[in-house]
Order: sequence, then C-alpha cells, then structure tokens
Amino acid sequence: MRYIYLWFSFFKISFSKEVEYRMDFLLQCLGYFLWFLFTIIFFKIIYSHVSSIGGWNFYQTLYLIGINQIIIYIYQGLFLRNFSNFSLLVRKGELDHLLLKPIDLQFISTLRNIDIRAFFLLPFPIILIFYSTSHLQLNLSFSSYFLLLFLIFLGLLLRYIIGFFIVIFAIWMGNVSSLSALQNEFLKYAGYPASIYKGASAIIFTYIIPIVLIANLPAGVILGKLKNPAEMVIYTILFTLIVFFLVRIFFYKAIKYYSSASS
Amino acid sequence: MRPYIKIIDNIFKESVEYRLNHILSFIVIALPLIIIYFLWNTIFYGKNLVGGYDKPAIVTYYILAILLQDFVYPGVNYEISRDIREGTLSNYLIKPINYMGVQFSIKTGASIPYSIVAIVITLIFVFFMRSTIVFQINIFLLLLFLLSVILAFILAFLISYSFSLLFFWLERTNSIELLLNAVLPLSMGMILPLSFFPHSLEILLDFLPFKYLLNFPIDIYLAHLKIERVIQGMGIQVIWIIIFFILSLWLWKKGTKKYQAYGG
Repeated sequence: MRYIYLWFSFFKISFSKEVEYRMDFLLQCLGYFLWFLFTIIFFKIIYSHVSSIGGWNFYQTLYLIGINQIIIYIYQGLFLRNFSNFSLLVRKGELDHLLLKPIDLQFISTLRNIDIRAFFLLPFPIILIFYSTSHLQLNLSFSSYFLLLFLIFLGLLLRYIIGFFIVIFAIWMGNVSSLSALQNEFLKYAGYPASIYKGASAIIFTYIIPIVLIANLPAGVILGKLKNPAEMVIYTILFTLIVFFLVRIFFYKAIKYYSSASS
Repeated sequence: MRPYIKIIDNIFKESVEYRLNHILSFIVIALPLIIIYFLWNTIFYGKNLVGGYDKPAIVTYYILAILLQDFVYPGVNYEISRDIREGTLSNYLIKPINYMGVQFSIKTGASIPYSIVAIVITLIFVFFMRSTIVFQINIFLLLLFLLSVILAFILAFLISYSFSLLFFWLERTNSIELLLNAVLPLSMGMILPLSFFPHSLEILLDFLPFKYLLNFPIDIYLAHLKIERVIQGMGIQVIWIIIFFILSLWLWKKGTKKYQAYGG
C-alpha cells in the first residue's frame, strides 16, 4: 500500500515538472511519435510491393506494431528515464542518497522518474489497433481482451527486466554511452513479425534473447499466429519470473560492489 | 594544419579508451544487421525483385547503410551549443584557430574508432552472409563510391555545423534536433532505399541534399546508376557542399557578432 502511495507522489512530482515547459513538452511528444510513424511508413511501402511477409498481411502487421507501440510508450513513460539516468546516479554518488531511504532500492531507483509525455501518445497505437481490427474481421470476446491486456502487461514486465539488466551490466562495466542505443534496438525490432525468424534464429530470438516474446506473443495469440500459444504463454510467465529474481539478485550484487568501491 | 591534426589524434585516443562502448556498439550494430537480414529474407520469399532491388542488393544496401550512418548522419552538435551557451566559445575566438576547422577535426577523430569497429563487425557478418552479398570488384566504381562517401561526410558535417550555429539565436536545443530527426531517416534512405518510394517523392528527393548523404553513395557501390547519373550526383553533392559552406560562414559571422555583443 505504502508503495502505491509513494508511486502516486512520484507521478504528481513528474507531472508538475513537465507542465512548466509547455513548448518543450509538445516537441518531445512529437519526437516520440516519429519512430512510430516511420515504422508504419516502412511497412506501408513494403506492403505496396509484396502482399505478405511470412504469412502476415498488412493489417496483421499493423496490429502487431500497435501492440508493440503500446508497450514502448508505457515502457518509456514508467521506466526509460530512470534507466538512462542510472549511470548519472552512480557517477554523481546520488545512489548513496537513495540507499539511505527505508524503501526497496529497486523500486525507488527504477520508478522514481515518470515521463508523462509517453502516456499522452497512447491513444495513437490504440487507434491503430482498432483500425486494423476492423479490417481483420476479428470476433473478439470480452475474455480475449482481458487476455490481451494480461499479455501486454507480461510483455512490458519482460521489457523492464531486459532494460534493467542492460543498465546493471553497463554499471558493472563502467561508463557506457551506447546504452541508450542498445535499449532502442530492442524496442524497435520487437515489432517485426516473428515468422521472419526460422530454425535456429527462431529459437534464439524467442527463448534466449526474447525479443519475440514482448509484442509478438500478445499479437500472435489474438491473431492466431502461434502454433502452441498455451505453452508459449506459460513459458513466458515462468521465464519472466525467474529472470526477474535473477536480475534482482544481480542488481544487489552490483550495488554491494558499488558501496564498497566508494567508501 | 598542425593543431587540427593534434585534435584528431586526441579525440581518437580518448574514444579508444572507452573499450566497452565498442563492445556494446558491436551488439548495437550486429543486432539490426541480423534482424534486417531475416526480415528481407522473408519479404523476398518467392520473389526476385522488390522495388528494383534483388536480395543481395538489398542486404548489401542495409549493411552499407549501417556501416556509414554514423559517418554521414548530420545530427545536432551539442558541443557547439554548449560552447555558445556557456561562453567557452570565447576561448576559440581569441586564438588564431578556425572554429569550423576545430569542429571538423573533432568529428573526424571521433569517427575513426567507430568506423574501425563497424568495419570489423561488418566483415564478420559479410563472411557468414557471403552468398547473399554484392561484392563490387570494379575498382573504378569502388573509387567513385569512396569519393562520394568522402563528399557525403563533408556535406553531413557542414549541414550539422550550420544547424548547430542556429544556437546563437535559439534557446531550445531539442527543436532543431527534432526537425532533423523528422526529416533525415526517411529522406536519406536509412529506413528504405529511396526507389521504393512513390516516383513523385523520389524526384523531389533528388533535389534535396539528404539523399546524397547515404542513398546515393550506396547506389554507386551497387552499380545501380549510369555513369552520367553518378557524375551528375557528385556535382549536386559539391553544389550542396558549397551552399552549406557559404551558409555556415554567413551564420558564423552574424552569430559571433551577436555573441560578442552579449559578452560586452
């Protein structure tokens, strides 16, 4: 309960900070919108030359892009800023400040900064999803929407763990500036249809570097693109939980290394 | 010339120190290469030509695009904005040194280590994908390609430099970056080769400078252009270089006048 209350105060602080600079706010919203637009243009042009990519038609791909973009925006809104500031936190010693607080360190260090711009853009991918749904003649029951929301949440959680892992890894190795680039690469390619991977690459990108599980799982389950959806969902839940705890242990190990280095 | 070469050397040594950065950029470069390869492999399923390119040509296109993009992407130079905002520009104004030359040396010095890493990664990738890659063995074309890349590098620097000099007048640094990021990826050909676009748009892009940063050099390598078109394109590269060179000199003159007036 205390943590929910705390999170709402993070939200309030971030909100009041943002509203001060309205022009910047609009510009950055536009900036966040660009890659989404580029991805749509990219696939629109490709589909003007071919009718299907690995069995996915244009509207199915739009659906996937929409799902992926929802995950990207929520990820940007809740976590990304914390992750990109992390090296600063370590270098300037602000982490000491957080270590003193009687709050879970992972909670406060990865959820403190909320980027509300990203939430303002959420309607666009949602519109895209409804637009493609209307072209796909999908008959979705109420429970499948519920399932979709759950799978999006799962994808988001997985995305968070991957992002957090990259950050901790980077801190352990020293100052790294390609970090944000690496984050972006993961975000960008999660929106490609999973059927482009075949054989060994399919196994690698699904089970080891789980780019495919983030957005292709929700979209694939709803669009009926997966051979064994139930097994994949169960695998993703287990994978996410296990890796979540492993990364948490890894994080506290790294922090221990940090405190002994500074004193 | 001596001080500029010294700057190139310093920046080079500085960026070699951050070795992990290069290991990470290995992933940053290799991951898109692999995924883009799979995507296009699937798009070409049962087809020989898409948008005027065959599969080896498109794979080679993206390899070269990723290899060159850091070199020829005219992003905003935040060092210039900092120099203007924080007044460190004065250090250069009182020295007998050309600021444009300094910035050009910095850009050159920083580009070398990245290029080395990118070339190594690309070579590994090329080895595995050797059956679906265009190897250009025509020395004459390779020389033309190299020349157009050098021109593109100079043009990219001048575009970036000119836009960065706008900080003499603008407070908001991110507005310029946003403008560039909105126009560049599509119009340079980073996202798709420009021949995939509708014809009318393609013609418009022929007259703008952006195509000549990336799409044009790669098309030379792929032997997609007749020799007249290559010469014409290089002519356009040179014209844009002259335009942005004059523009940047003019902006510099106006800007430093305003800057000195501020400083009192």
